[in-house]
Amino acid sequence: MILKTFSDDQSNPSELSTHILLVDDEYDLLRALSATLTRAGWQVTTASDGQQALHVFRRISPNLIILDLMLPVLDGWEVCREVRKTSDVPIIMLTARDDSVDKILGLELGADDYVTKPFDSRELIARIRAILRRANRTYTGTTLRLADFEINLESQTVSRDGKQTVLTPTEFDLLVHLARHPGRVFSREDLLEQVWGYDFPGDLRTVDVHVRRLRLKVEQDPAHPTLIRTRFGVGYVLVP
Amino acid sequence: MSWYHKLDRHIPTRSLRWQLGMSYATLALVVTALLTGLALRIGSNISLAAEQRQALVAVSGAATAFREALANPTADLSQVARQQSFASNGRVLWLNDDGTVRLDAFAEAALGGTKLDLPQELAQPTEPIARAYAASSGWVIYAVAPVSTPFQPASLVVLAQDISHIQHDLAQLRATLWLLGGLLACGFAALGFLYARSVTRPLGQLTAAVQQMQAGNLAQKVVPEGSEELRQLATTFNTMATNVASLDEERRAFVANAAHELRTPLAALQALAYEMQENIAPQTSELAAFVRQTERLGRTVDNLLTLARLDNPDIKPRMIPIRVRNLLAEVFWVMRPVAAKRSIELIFPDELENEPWVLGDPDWLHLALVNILGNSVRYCPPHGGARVGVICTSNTVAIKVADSGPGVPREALSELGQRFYRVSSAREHSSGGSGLGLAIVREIVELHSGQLAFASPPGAGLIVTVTLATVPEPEDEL
Repeated sequence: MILKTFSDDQSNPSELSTHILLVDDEYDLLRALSATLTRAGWQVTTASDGQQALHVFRRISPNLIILDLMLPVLDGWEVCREVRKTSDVPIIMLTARDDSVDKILGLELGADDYVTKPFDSRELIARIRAILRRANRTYTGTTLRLADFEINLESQTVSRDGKQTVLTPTEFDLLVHLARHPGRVFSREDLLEQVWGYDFPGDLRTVDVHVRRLRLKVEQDPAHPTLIRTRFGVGYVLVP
Repeated sequence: MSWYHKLDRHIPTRSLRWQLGMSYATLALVVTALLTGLALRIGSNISLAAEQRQALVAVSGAATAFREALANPTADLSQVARQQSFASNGRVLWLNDDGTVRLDAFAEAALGGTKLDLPQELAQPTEPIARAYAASSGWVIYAVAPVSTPFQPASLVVLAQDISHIQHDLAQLRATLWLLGGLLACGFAALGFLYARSVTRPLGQLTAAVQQMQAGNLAQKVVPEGSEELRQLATTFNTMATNVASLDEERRAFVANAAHELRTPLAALQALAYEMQENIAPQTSELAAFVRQTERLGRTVDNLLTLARLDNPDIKPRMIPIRVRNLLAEVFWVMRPVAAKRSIELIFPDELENEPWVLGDPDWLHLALVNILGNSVRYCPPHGGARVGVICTSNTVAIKVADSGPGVPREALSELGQRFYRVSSAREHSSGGSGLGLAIVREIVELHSGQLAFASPPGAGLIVTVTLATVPEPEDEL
């Protein structure tokens, strides 16, 4: 059983409250990475298989999960699906496979980002920071009106005809960003930078998958979107 | 550029459809020519024979009329000639036997007095003769008959008939036949085109499918249609395409798995390296982990290279007779220290009455047995053991490795030996296996035409059995 909470007394106390669940079946990676993340100022709990991960997740309610895909007992996809049933905690997937199908599947299941092994620990830290920033983002103002939608910025919810639509934080951020600049075309790079908060090159497929998931929730006919339109070769635009 | 090449540029004369159509048309035309020739020949023969018969009758009649007229001194000979001429629809001449015309029915003395140069066969007739000739003006029939009376010198009657109407009829017949033949040829050409379509369509589909495969779209399927041979070709092609596609899928999966196997230790190494770089005083445990992951990476690369070598169809194992006991002794010599480190006991087989010999490549067989024993050592709990047994039948030897490890669930037994297959990822990862060891064993055993079997009775560990054919002990042991 590898279940240990690493903490570092020297870390920034304001960030100490941020709890990361790190799941990988590779003991050496787990140890090195949790040491690195602890030094970066987060509280890290590790798990080495899928079942353990779910168990720990329910116990500690982490602020972020870093999840390897190839896990014994329950694989990363199963864990992701299970977590998403009850929580919209940000999930970063780790994968040693190149298959874009794997990556897309991870994103479809509700992961917020993925990182391909081997990775640079600095980049992982940057991604964690970007995601946490987004998760803690607060909006000024109260509501945005958009066609027949009402976007409540305080409770971070979207409703149509009084019926609430459940969006993940990333989807919500994406919608708000597009809704605040109606008619403006954003390239995928723009969106990665402005919504995801990446100051490093990220995978543009992440944007596509999130746009598609958002369309599934807000478009009348997701196959023929009228609200969030694609400008081929340019990017996405919200047409109110 | 020749006319042919010019033609070829505009019409695909080399295409099957064109060639088949043209062949059919040519055949139709040749048949038409032959039939027309035959028909004209038969037609002209029949018509001429009929005309000649009529001419004979007419000239005989004329000769009789002249004979009677000569016997009758009051008779007007030219009147007779005109009558005969009218009746026979020809020109009646009365000649001396030297060929001088004495009377011409057509015009009084038109040829009178001139000497007719009759053809040889007609010059001295003893009985009525009719012959057809092709004159410059058209076809004619000359019929001659001798006129012999007791009181007159010998003379003869000549009947000349214009039968050019037969020629016209035949020409018309020929034109009709050629017209029919031409139409027929066009019909056959069209038929050829249509028939060729039934060949070119499946061929075109096959070509398109092959081109698709060439472009990298390996999952191709064509509908078998057309003739039996083409159906067979299409079916064979489909089978081949399926095989190629599945081979490609296997390759893709292998590469993806290999990448995964290489990336996992690399990720650990990179994370460790970063941590060691950031941490002012690297800990011994980190260094040990670094070494462990590096070794694992090295092992994976070694295994991948070994598999690549075994996959090479040109690989020629160096087959020599090997004494099984010697083979096992070498394996034990290598594995005992490794096992001792984990306090695992390896038990050598008992002495047998007849020590078996096998034909094989000692290096490959050594590697296979090291991998099997290595697995046992890796998965046995400390203070466990692995026992090697040798069981002989009349012509085979089974090398059995039974360990005291956790065993393998029944449903996983059939998967053992698959590349990158692991019974339990957690167990293997901490042990550093790459999931290739038993795959290598399987390849080596297959290379030796042997059999590899796995068993895991409840409560016991895993039993791996390698069965090989035995050979008689060589006369002079090397």
